[in-house]
This record gives sequence, structure tokens and C-alpha cells, in this order.
Amino acid sequence: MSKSEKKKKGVVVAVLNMKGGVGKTTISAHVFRHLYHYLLKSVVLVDFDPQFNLTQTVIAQTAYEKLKADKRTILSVMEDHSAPSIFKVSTDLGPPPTLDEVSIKMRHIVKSPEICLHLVPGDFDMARYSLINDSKVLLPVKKRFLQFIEQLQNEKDVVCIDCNPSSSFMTLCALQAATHVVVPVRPDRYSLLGLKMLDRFITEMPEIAHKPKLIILLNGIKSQQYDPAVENSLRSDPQFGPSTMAASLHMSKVLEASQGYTGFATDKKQSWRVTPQITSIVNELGKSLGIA
Amino acid sequence: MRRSYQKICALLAAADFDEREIWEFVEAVHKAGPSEVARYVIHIRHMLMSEMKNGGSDWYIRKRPSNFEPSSETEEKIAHLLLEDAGLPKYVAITRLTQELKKRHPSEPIPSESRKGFTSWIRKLLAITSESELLHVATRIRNEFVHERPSDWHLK
Repeated sequence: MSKSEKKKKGVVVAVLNMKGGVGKTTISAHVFRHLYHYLLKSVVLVDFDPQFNLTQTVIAQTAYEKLKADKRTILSVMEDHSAPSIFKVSTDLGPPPTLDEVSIKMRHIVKSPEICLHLVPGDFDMARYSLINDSKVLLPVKKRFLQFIEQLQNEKDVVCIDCNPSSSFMTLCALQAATHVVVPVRPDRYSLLGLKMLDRFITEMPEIAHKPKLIILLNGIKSQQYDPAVENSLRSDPQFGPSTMAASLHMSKVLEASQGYTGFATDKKQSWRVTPQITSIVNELGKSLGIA
Repeated sequence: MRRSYQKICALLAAADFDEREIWEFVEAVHKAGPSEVARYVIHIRHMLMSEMKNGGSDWYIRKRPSNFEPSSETEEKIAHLLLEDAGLPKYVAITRLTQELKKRHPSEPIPSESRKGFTSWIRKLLAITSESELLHVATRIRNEFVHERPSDWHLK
């Protein structure tokens, strides 16, 4: 392959806010599933939160248990399976696995099968990285994760990492890998604080050599009796205003997790209620990521 | 008149929509803009083809997008911020936005006021700046004229 034909490296998007309950998983699942289909991009969803809500949103329990038994989860990206105890990691980690070894193909375009949507399922056992205090012990784990993400960048268009809302080892891994950070913000006064804290974390953390670009997405806008005070405060902010997407995600039952439905919101019967607004988000996000 | 335009109109006529639905559709197309509509049609075609390859389904009946609104609402939002919230006359809103954009994009020519109206002029501005930046600028102008009680928790 000549230099001019060389595939452009994919973008790595961490979906993150230091505050919980702002819609990280909703955006990772439903916006990026639509991005794959609407912009025709190969997308990998990485469930990087030990609570693994993204996985539970789109995969049924029986299917997940089989994946877990087959060691096809994010934990196999971090380490092989010879960890001596919950507080220790293997000292001699080999190269990371391939995408096919740890993922499940969720969708593909029939006419262009190379365009597909993969999920690397989450794993509750990732919580052990919050229990290990010595960051040096975790260095080989981080290195292996970063190598894995780099592999994906060479193969795919977009890698979406659904993060957990803490300033943990996992957050640092995700931010070191990320080219962009999508920050969901709810229009309540507390979400803005999580945004400021995240920005400081990225700016001041010396390990994050290449600072990822922040893209702020307002989520959970009420359709009626909406008070735009927080939105106005965010949009007028000299630092965060220009990075706040014009399109926003409105509250909808279609986007909520419901008993008896496992899958993506844009595949639901009532998807037409949310698809146009997600399309607007995907269009704008695609431009910000440089892929549309 | 273009042949494709006549063919699509004939298709709509044959589909037996009532007059209200046709007006709604034309308004939605106008609001969304040509490229957005073309993208949306191609997207639906992909979905239909994918469904048919997988054994077919009544997807296109179940998912008919009755509230089809693929465009962003940026133009309306900016009009609301400046003309309604801030209560500015149109010419003041245009002057202030033009001044702010000139500061940020000194080498870009700012389009003159559109005969088609304020929102149409806003749409023209999107050729020189992003929707998010335009909303940022408009919100700052709005805040100069609207003095609200500050929130006790805010960005610092």
C-alpha cells in the first residue's frame, strides 16, 4: 500500500464526565450505533465501566454469560488470565488480543460487510483496578490497553470508550488513548461542576501528553417547561461555549432502559421519535471528529 | 423543470398523501435543507435494503417518521435568544452578531442581511462559522441584555 493509499487512523472518543447519571452509556450506545449506520463508519464500542451498563443495554444476560465464560470481555484486553490474586496483576503480560478475540460483532452493512459495529463487552472484575493503589503495578496493564486501542485505530474508523465517572486508573487509560472526549452534560447546576473538574484533570495530568479535544453534548433536555438557564450559562462560557454542540439530546422514554427490551434505541419500534435528533447529533459530531 | 423533480412529485402524488401532509413535508424539506434531506433518504434506503436482505419486514410502515425533523434548530434558537429573550430589534441583532463575527473571523466577509428573513441570514452565517460557535456568540449577546439572578452553582 502506498503512502497516499494508507488508511487514515481512526478517532478514539472517550465518553466521560466526572459526574454520574449524565447519559454516558445512552450516548455511547445509541448515538454511536446510529453514527455507524448513518455515516457508514466502522465503529467499536468499548465498555470500560466496571458497572458494564453499556453491555447490559445491548446484550441479553444469557449471551453475556457465554461471552464472559469465553473470556471475550474488556478484562482480557487488560491482562491475560493468569492474575495471581485480586490485588495483583500478572508481571509478564504478552501482546494484547485481537479485536475478534474479545468482541462481538453487533451489526454490519450487508452490501459493505467491512463496515460494522463491534462491542467489547464490559466486566465487573475491572473493579479490581480501583483496589490497587500502586500505580507502578498497573503500568503494564495500561500499556497493553493502549496497544490494543492503537491496533483498533489502524483497523477501524471510530473507537468509542464508555468510561466510568471517576478519576481512576481506568479514566487515565481512556484519556491517554483518546483523541476526543465527548462530555454529556445535563442541564442541571451540578453537571457543570463535573465538566470543570474533567477539564482540570485533562489539563493538569502530566501523563496525558496529547490533550484530547473536548466536545460537550447537552443531554436530557425537557420537551416542555424547559428552563434554559444552565444551557445559557454553558453556551456563553468563553472556554466551554464554543465546544458545546448545537444539537442536543432530548428526554425520551425511547432512550430509557426498559424491562423486556435489550438493544439499541434506534432499533425500537418507536425509534422515529428519537432518530431525527440523533441524526442531527451524528452530523455535527461527525464534523467535529473529522469523519463526516 | 428537472426530470428528477417531476418524478419525485409524481411519486408523492401517487402515494395518496392528503394536502396537509404534502404541506408538512414541503415545510420539513425547507427547514432541513437539501443536503440533509438527501442524506436522510439515502439512510432510509440503506435501512430498507438491509431489512430486505435479512428476509424483509414491514419496517417502512412501522417506522414512518411522522415527526420528520432532521435539521438542527440552531436558526430558530438564535432568533429566540436575540429577538425574543433579549428583545432586540432585528437590525440591532444583525449588527451585534456581525460585529462579534468580524472580531473572530476578520478575514471572512460577513454576508449582508437576507431579504428572506432573519433565520435565512443566520443560515448564511453557517458558511463561515460552526453552529456551536454561533450559538455561543448569540448567547453572550443575549446575556448582555438579559439580567438574570445568577445561579448559586455555576462554572468558575
